[in-house]
Amino acid sequence: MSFNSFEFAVFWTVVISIYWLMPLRLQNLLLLAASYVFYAGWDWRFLSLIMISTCVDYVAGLRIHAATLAEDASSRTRGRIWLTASICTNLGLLGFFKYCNFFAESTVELFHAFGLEVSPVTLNIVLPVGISFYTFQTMSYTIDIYRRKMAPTRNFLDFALFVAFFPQLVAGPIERAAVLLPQITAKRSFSTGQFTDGLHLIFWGLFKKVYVADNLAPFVDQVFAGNSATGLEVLFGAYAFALQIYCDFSGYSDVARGCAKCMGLELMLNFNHPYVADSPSDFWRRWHISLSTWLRDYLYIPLGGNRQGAGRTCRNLMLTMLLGGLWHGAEWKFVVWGGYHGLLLILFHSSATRTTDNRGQTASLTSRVGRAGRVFVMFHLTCLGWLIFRGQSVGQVSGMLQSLVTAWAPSSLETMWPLVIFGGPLLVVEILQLTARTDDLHGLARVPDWAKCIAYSVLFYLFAFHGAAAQSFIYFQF
Amino acid sequence: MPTKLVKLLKAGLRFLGLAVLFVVTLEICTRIDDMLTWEAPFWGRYDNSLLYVSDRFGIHGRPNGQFEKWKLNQFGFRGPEISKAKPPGVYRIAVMGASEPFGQAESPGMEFPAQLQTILDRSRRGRYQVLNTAVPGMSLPRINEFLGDYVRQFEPDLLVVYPVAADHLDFRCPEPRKALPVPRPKKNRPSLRLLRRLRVVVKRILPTEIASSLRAYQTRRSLRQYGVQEQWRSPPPERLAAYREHLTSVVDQARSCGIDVLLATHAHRFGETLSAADHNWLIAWRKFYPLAGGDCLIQMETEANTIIRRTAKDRGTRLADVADTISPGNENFSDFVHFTDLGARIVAEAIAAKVLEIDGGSSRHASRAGCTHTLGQRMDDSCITAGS
Repeated sequence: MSFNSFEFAVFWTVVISIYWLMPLRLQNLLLLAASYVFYAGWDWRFLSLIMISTCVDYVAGLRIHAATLAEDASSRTRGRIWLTASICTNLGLLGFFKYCNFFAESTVELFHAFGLEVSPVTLNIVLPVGISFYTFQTMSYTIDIYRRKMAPTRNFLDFALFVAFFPQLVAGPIERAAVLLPQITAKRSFSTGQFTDGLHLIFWGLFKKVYVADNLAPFVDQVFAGNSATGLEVLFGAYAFALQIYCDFSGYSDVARGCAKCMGLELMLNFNHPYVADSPSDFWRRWHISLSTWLRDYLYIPLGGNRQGAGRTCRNLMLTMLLGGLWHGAEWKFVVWGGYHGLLLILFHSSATRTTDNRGQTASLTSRVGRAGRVFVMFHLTCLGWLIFRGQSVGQVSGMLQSLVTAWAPSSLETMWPLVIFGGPLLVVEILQLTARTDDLHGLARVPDWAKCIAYSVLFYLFAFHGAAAQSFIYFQF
Repeated sequence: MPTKLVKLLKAGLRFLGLAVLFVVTLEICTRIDDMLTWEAPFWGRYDNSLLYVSDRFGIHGRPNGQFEKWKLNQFGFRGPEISKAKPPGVYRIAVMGASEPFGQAESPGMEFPAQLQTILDRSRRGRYQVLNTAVPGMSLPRINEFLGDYVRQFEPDLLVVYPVAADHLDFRCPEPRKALPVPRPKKNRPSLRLLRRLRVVVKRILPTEIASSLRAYQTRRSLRQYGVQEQWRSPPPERLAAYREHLTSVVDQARSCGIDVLLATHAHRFGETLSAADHNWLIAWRKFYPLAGGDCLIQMETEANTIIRRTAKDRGTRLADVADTISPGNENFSDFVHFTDLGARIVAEAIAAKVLEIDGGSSRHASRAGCTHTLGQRMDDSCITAGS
């Protein structure tokens, strides 16, 4: 069941109503049962995969921890074996269900390219919803134990809940065990403020999804349907897709965080106004933060990060981004998209000398105008990447790029109206949030309650009466 | 008063105030939305009663009535402005019926009479003029009355009748206006437009199974209110006989006024076998005719179409067999009987083919001498005898 469905509204209302009446042990049991019911609503057959991942990583976590406590070499070897088992199980599940056909077809194409005739063997494999997310989440658990960053939990139910927690099960955020597990095991008390914050987040997330993303979807589909879009239409189409994917994904994350908050649990911030990034690295500190930090901590840094010279740094960046792209889907366009961002990161990293400020960000060498300029450029570089991400084929993308340069004249300025109508309210709220440095309107402290009430009323009106018909979340396909 | 109670009261009042502000803002947004989308007035009543008027001609389209996508001309017909007098050389077609020709779910300008106009214009521009005189809920007896009292004044050359049959399964068999009690005028009380919007949204998001259960409950409640123990399993013969009589009266009246008649069979979404979705639509349809249990409604449609075909043969009128032409299902029907844009086009094409046949054969207007009226003498003009 999707967050923007009647069934989920009923499901969540029932769960939250019972939840706060129960003691901690029963709360966790309720959440676990609810999570399995939630996932079974998608496809009950794939519950077995979550359970396999849960069981393997629970045992592996304990064994790795026991091995790391002992100092001898054979224990270290045992620890590595268990870690390998955990990683192989998770990557094996992911590889089989997500990439099996992709690799088979790609291999066949490669043989064909060399003039060798090979019959493709493809299986009718259904992609289990959320597999890309929970496998990464459980791998981070065993890896962190191996690195002695945390101790394993001995409570199987708590661990099972960590893996299957329904708000973030199917589309993230990809949580770290060190952050979420202690919250699961700790007693939670009801807080009106936290509950209200959660409701605000849920509302804002649904607004972004139902009003902005789903209403922009037909316009984006229209632009990417054929090859005849003019340059201006391609540009607006790219802007619209940038807003669509941002609102779709961040909307889901907000609803997930809101649901968790209402239950006294804090999930990590997954999007931090990514389109005000002024550099590629800044973008990846703001976009899908849970994935980018996962890739940084478990891929980029183990590869050597930026500690082994410029050449190795570039290699590590490119490899991380290529695999990050592949994570998004079993298609070469995602790999190309990842490679594109890798290239941006490499170019940025290799560019002229910078100074860094206390926050570790690239400090502006000029004024705010300079930063605005960089934000403008970075946004358009990101949009260029979205063309690759969303495009149907290489031919279409190259045609679109050509249109941007040669066939600029628009057929009609009406193409920009969806952006104005659906993006406008989003822009206003995002600017308010940026200036107030808060997650939602609720945090705008200086605004009187009556003004917030009016603002919420208008947003609710747009969401309830101009929200598009329910569409699935884009990141469910990953 | 204890401090805690005062605090509680203040908090309660504050919450109530914000709640009222929330609702008022929503209502203002609704009205502004109506203004921008439909050119609706900000103040005053805005609902579908703006489309109807009840006067000496009975209940019919309100002249210049407008509500959302439905816009009526100065004569209360849906469509563009026309002159009362028929322009020379024009073949005027009056489409009569209920909500199907009037248009429900179709995009503006895509109801089948409007599409009929477009198709005929492509064939011979300026020759044809289609008047959509349909009124939602108009039964055959009312069509008969309205034809004689009002539509006849516009001197149509051809009358296209798309008659509803299911209303003959209502608690009361359709009767002419004169036989019915005069309805009390509705009080013009202020109302929240927001409520209408909320109803639409709730209907949209409610799962089909829940909606069907609610409708089935409403049907049972209606039966209880009327003290009915058992639903009809098949259309009662007396209702079928009434339908035949009403249809024949319409044809006879039109003929006596010198108007050619084209009868159209009535289509619905249900095919030979019913899907789960079809069952839900049948439950929805039954809500309007609670007496019709089981397949009674579908049987009534089948029997009524047989009557239409037989009447056309017996009376020598043309027939557009729409029911046979249009395929059942979601593509052509937005609900049980109303069309999608595509469905309306198919209907329009079927009727247009017959119109072109008829117009190709006839070359002059018929004499209108000796026209009769079934009920009432609400005519502005006396009988007209046109020269041949």
